[in-house]
Amino acid sequence: MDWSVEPYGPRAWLVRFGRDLSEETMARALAVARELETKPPEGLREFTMGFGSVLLESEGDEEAAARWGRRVLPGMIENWQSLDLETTAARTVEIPVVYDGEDLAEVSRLTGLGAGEVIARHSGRDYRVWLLGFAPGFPYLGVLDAVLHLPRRDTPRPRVAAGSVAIAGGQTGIYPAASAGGWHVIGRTPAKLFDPDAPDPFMLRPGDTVRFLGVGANDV
Amino acid sequence: MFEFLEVISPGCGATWQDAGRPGWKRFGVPPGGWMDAQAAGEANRLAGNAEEAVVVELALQGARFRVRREGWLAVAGAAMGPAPGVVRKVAHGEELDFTRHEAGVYAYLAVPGGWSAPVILGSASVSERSGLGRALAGGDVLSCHHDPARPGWRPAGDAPCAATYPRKIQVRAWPGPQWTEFSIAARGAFFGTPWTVSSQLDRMGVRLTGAVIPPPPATMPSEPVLAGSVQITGGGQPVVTMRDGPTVGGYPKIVWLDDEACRRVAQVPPGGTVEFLPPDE
Repeated sequence: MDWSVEPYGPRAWLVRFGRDLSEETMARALAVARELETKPPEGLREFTMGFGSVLLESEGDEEAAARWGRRVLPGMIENWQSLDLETTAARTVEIPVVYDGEDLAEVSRLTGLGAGEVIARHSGRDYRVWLLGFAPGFPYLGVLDAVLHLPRRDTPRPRVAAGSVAIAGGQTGIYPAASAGGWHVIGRTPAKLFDPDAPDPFMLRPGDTVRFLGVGANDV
Repeated sequence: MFEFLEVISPGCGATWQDAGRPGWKRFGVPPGGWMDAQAAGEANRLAGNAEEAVVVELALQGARFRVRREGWLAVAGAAMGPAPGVVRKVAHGEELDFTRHEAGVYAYLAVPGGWSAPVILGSASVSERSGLGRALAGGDVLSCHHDPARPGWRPAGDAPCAATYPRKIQVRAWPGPQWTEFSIAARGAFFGTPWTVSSQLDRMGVRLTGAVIPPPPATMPSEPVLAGSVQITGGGQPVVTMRDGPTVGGYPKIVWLDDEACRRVAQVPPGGTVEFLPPDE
């Protein structure tokens, strides 16, 4: 496994540790995130996870950041090489979905599957939360059944409703708030993925297992 | 609480903003905060506030307010009607029209003693797309903590506005994470083009037009994105990621702009031009 470190401006670094969306890359990302969460290194202002990558932002001015990059960063990455990758899911969260999304017919057409089969394949397996990103509490979930892998919509929708369950590439996700979006919307959930007023504002955490339960429109 | 201004119309956009919300990016929460820290800071200085006090941020033009009670109001940043760089007493019943766009994009309103705005995850900065508060709308009443007519300090009067908001700017760029993956020709075209700021601009990003920059052939998995990153979309168009931009994304980032360059780009109105200067080698 190749690790690479690149500066991202004078006070941040992007560390890459996997370009494929494999279970191993995910396990490594979860291990790195857990390490940073439980043992925040001195001088680190903030970290952000990507797929097989992590962004590290240093505190202080450019000079202090340069020092951090020389003295702290290399040892930290060295330690990450030997992290324990054994990851058992923290929690399993069941999320009810009404499969009546505006792109369901289109997904059905593009995949050549009946709508019922699309639903069965989407709800028929457990997903792991790879990371939260794009919008507060938006979970990138994987891995989707290969038959359902589709590129993003050519033209993003200007507005996707809050609670929309959507797919793109090897992933599925849930829009916590209404926003523009380029994924194919196949359903909706009443689950609140992000509630800034709640003691814990985020319903899901990286590493959680998610199970979608198909329900009728009258059940939500 | 003192009811000071009533929103008649928010125009192109009116939101509460402060320094933003650091520390939440790994949950997908963008940094947020004022698009032009310098102008927001000036509004607060004119009002006699701490620089980090929450302000009202107005975008482009069109916002209108009615004054509910006499008080001091500081305006800074873009020129849309009421003169920026000025703190003055506004009268009960007076109407403030930010409807004549002259320069810049973002203007800031501050009141002595500070506005009373809801705080979410440690910040008053609003990002509707992120589910963080809501933008101001007609009928909203903006209140402040102290009597705006009796700020407890003697206003210095009009302070000449030092900042200017040119329609053509040049900014220095830092190499972005995919810098070396762009061809020499693509980088040359990026720096050789005077980019026009399109009308597709908001707190998430500013789309530029003027040339097509061929993106690197390899697609990449989504990775973290810093505000200030210039992403090249699939169609070869640059988008400057702004304060409310997504925390991760799959477009390659050719360059990164620091906060000062980013705030200057934010203040270039549609039709204005931005030229990027290559990183110092």
